[in-house]
Amino acid sequence: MHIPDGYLSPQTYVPLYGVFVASAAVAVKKVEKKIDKKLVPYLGMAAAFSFLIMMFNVPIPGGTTGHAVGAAIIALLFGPWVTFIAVSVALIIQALVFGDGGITAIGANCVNMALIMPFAAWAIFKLITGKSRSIIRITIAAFLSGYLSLNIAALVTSIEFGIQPLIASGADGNPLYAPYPLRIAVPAMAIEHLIFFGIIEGLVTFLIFRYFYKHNKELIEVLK
Amino acid sequence: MKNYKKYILFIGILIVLSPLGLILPDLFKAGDAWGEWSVESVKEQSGIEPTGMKKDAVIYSAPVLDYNLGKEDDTLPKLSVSYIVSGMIGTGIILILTFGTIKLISRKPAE
Repeated sequence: MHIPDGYLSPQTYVPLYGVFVASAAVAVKKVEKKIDKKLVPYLGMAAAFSFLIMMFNVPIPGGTTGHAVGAAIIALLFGPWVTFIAVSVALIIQALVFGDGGITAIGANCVNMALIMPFAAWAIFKLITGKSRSIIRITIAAFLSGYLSLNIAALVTSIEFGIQPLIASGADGNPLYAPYPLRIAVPAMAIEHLIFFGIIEGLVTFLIFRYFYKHNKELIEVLK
Repeated sequence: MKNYKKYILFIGILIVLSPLGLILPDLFKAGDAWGEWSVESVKEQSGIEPTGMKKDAVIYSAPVLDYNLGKEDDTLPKLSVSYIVSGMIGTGIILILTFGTIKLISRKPAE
């Protein structure tokens, strides 16, 4: 889901950069109050975890690959703003050092995977559990927060791709950037994330959540 | 804190296992992720070579492109070693940033 350079037109990636920078300003303000020598190592480990888990490309029928992002579990454990910072750091390093994701697309990728996904995961978990602390509910909520938040991020990404032919085509009618319209981009990305990658993210989220629930329940931000 | 040791072990295991992210796609002859193709690949698939994409795709040259310290057509074992080292590089950068931040906030006067 790392958008490379050249897939988004400036009229797309510039506003998304704007959203990213604005979010970063808010994130810093929000996290600044909580920041202490204890949180920072957790932040580092979360960023490292997200960075590494995105290296695990999983092949699926049809011949494409994908990967989990880890943003959901980090959000459940540390809250969405901390996750924004952790995952953004991972994504920026991936783009700058390894060319995984474009430079022009850093804003877009961070908005999709570091902003939308963690907030979606948090909201979905809270919606499903409500005030209940039943283990079954919490387990289902953990899985679904990973599964659904990844799919939401993928959907937004596919829309960013799919509108390119509409908003950025040359005088000859040919698309200037991502060439596939919405009716191709959205189903393609949606199906693979609904059937395969979402499940992986859901499982990663659920398994790690369960570990923390057993051993470090007091750490889990979403249960506080 | 003994918890840190467990996390460090976990991160270490992820780094060592990371080549699975290369081996599995190779095993199943899987290609790029959707929407992560090269310009050439796009042209092959769709017949279109979007001019904006062609221009922007080369805008930046990453130092360790695609987590590969060697050549693009290296053998899988070689690529896997690059992958592990890249995992360590990424983790290392994050470690430096983390400790840097701790140092920074330690110097800030308490409010």
